[in-house]
Amino acid sequence: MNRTPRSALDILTEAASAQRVPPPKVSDEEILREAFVRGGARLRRVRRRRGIAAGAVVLCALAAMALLAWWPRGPADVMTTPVSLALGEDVVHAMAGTVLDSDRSGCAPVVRMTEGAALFDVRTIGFTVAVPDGTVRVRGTVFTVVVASGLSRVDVYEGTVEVSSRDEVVVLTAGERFGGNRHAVPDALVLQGRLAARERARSAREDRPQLSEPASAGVEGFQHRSSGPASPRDRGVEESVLLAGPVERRSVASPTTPTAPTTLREPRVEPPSLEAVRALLEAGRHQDARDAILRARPTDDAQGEWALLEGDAERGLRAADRAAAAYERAATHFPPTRAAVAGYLAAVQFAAAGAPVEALAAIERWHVAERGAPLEERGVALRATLLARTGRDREARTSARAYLLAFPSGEARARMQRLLEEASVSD
Amino acid sequence: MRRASAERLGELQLDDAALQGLIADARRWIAHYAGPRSDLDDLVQEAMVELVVALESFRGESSVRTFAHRVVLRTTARELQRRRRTSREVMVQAVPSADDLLDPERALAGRRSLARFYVALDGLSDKLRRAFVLCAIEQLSHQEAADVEGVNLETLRARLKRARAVLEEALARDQVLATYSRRSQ
Repeated sequence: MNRTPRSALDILTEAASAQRVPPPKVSDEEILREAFVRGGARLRRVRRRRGIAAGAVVLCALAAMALLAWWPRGPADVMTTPVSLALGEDVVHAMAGTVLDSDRSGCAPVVRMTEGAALFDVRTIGFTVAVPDGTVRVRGTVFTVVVASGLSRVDVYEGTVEVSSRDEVVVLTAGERFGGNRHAVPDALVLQGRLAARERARSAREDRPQLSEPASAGVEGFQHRSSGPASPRDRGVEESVLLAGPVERRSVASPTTPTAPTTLREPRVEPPSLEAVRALLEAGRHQDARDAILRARPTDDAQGEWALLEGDAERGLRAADRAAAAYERAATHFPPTRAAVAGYLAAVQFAAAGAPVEALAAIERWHVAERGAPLEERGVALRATLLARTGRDREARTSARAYLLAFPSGEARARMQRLLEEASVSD
Repeated sequence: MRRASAERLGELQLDDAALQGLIADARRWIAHYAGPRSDLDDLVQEAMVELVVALESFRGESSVRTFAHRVVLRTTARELQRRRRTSREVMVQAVPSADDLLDPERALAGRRSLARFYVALDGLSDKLRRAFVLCAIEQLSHQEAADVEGVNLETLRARLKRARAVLEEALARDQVLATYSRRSQ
């Protein structure tokens, strides 16, 4: 009978398996005792380390939460509903993440704003917002301030504010913007600002008869205007007359101590009429027209007309962004047909200001390119051009085709065909 | 701490006798895993310390004996690695049998061969070595070995097959061990 030869591995494995275990040099009791003593100490260490690790995790989590809460973010992407804070009779609608610190110890309240976005609906004359790169002094107005990365942006919806930057002092009126911050104002604040501006305009209309009486130009009149909810635009004008004027006479009277009778006796300036401003514009005197518009006291019904003229004046002064803002403001006061025209003008100015996205938004907002709109043809052509400029080629082609179908012999026919050809080449 | 551990062990219905039984088993497991060594008692002591610590987290998913086996083997593997790093000296201390006393020359050759065999085992990874030791040297069933290792049967078998292949290759390269089977027969 043949035996199958075993491999070396099998033999060695068998030898290892059969090896005798040497007897212990110490007793099992001693091994056990030692195991309990050393094992216990090790367990204590393990528990202590686990406690430390758990504490470290908790601390890290807290630190992360604190960091997240502190980390500067773009004001627009935080939340859509602002939180309202009352600072006396003034109201601040602040977005989450906005860092505000109010100081009312002086004669006029000062709000320090280091980060975020907020809308200020202010009644206290002299109210000041201190931002990292300057100060914004209020003359009774509605405005937003956006601060991010140490840079600020101020947008005025109604009334007048004075912005002191590092090297300049600028007086902003409704529809004007100032600042090097490129962050957009959150939509919620824009909406709230427009509502507040309308509310003030409505209040001003109710108050206007009292103001127009000669006797109201006295002390009582001033007191009424400084504390009541007068129209910001009116207030801007009145305050510039009664208190200090735009910039150069701002130290004449303290806004909270309106006791200087000399300032109240200054002659009132007659507000210009629409016709006068139109005449100035036709004569090419855009700066004069703009100054006249700032002095104007438009009724609620004429707000749109005045804003339209303001847009024309700004366009003449080659301030495309301000012109666009004025036209947009005009559109808010007009019925849909005229709003579409004003919206088209705003879109053109936005495009001229190098803001195609805002221009597209204006076209959509005011239904400029919709069927039946007064400037439908131009609106569709402009939309196609802007879409191509923003890299949305497919939508641009669609708009261009829509134009060529609807207006086969339109003015922009050649441009639309070229746009289609370029788009097909780039594809 | 001893009281806490004792309470824990009481919950597990482990008395001193059972733990002492585990010590004897641990000694055998370690001897099979590490081979004849002069520091066997140290390895046993380390393994028992680790076992006391590990029993704190024992959740009863296997028998205490299987759990202890796993802990002892892993502790021994770790200790061997640590000792290999700190000292290159491996002291072989096999216990002579009655036959060895009759033929001292043969006994010496057998001990040396066993020592070379364990050097070859050192060439395996810990996982392959444990699989081989459990199945080939301790002669557990594949299922028992898989339970100790906490792996499924297929994994255990794959490790065992791989370990055998590596060892066959290592022994073929060793001129002394390659002729061992012929001399033994």
